[in-house]
Amino acid sequence: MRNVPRLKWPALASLLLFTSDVLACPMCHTGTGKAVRAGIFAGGDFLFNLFVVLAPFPVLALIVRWIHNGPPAFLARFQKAETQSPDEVATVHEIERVKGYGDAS
Amino acid sequence: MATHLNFRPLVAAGTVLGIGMGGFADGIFLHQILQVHNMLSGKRFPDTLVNAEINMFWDGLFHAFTWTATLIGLYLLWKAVNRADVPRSGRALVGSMVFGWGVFNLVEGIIDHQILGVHNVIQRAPQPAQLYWDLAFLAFGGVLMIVLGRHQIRKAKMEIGEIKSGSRIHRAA
Repeated sequence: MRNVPRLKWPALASLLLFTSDVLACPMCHTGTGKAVRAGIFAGGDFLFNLFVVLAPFPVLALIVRWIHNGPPAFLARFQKAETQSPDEVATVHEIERVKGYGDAS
Repeated sequence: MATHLNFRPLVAAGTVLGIGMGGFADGIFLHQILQVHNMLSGKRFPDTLVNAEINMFWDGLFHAFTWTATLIGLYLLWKAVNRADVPRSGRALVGSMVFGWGVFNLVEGIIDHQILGVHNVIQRAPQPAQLYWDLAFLAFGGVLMIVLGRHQIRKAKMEIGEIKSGSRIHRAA
């Protein structure tokens, strides 16, 4: 173990001289770069991975559209029917008042 | 003066900004600084240089879309503040950004973590702990932030409604 410091510099030099090129960007023309490129684009994985990465965004866009423009047409119709009910209640109150049931005050 | 105040454009702009900022927060803190997961770490665990580089590519693409969402949010905000009927409420904007961040976490958590299984919140965690982290992310990062954001939006609507109707002025007098 005492020889370790003496071996440090030769070990470092041999690492620099004899290890393979580690440039690994998808555009690098090295072995690792080619492997990265193949991992991204080769096979049928690219389109599936693209779908996976983008999958939340259409759902988020729909939610934002709902916030900005209101609910979709089929739900809006449903909500419209709901919002009409207070008018109907008002009409019922009028009927009750006319008939003498309500509005005791 | 506009008689009917419309919060929708402001809330939509804030929500899109929150989605963008939420995506950036996820990408910067969880993918890059803490490195607890990457975009495809469920499929290609980044334990080799090649897998780490492949994950970096898909993380970058994800960031490109969160950047686009932020840009769209800025455009919507610019359009909103130039409308006379949209109130310029800081509370509503911050609330809708928190809401948008929560929506992003909830949608991304359900689709990517639970349905597609492309990554989990803590990829290196063993199986039961992984699920607990995922559920905690959905509860605190998703539902809680949505509730907090919505609460702030409602509070802003109530405040502006009170100012508009003059009840605050009556109370002060």
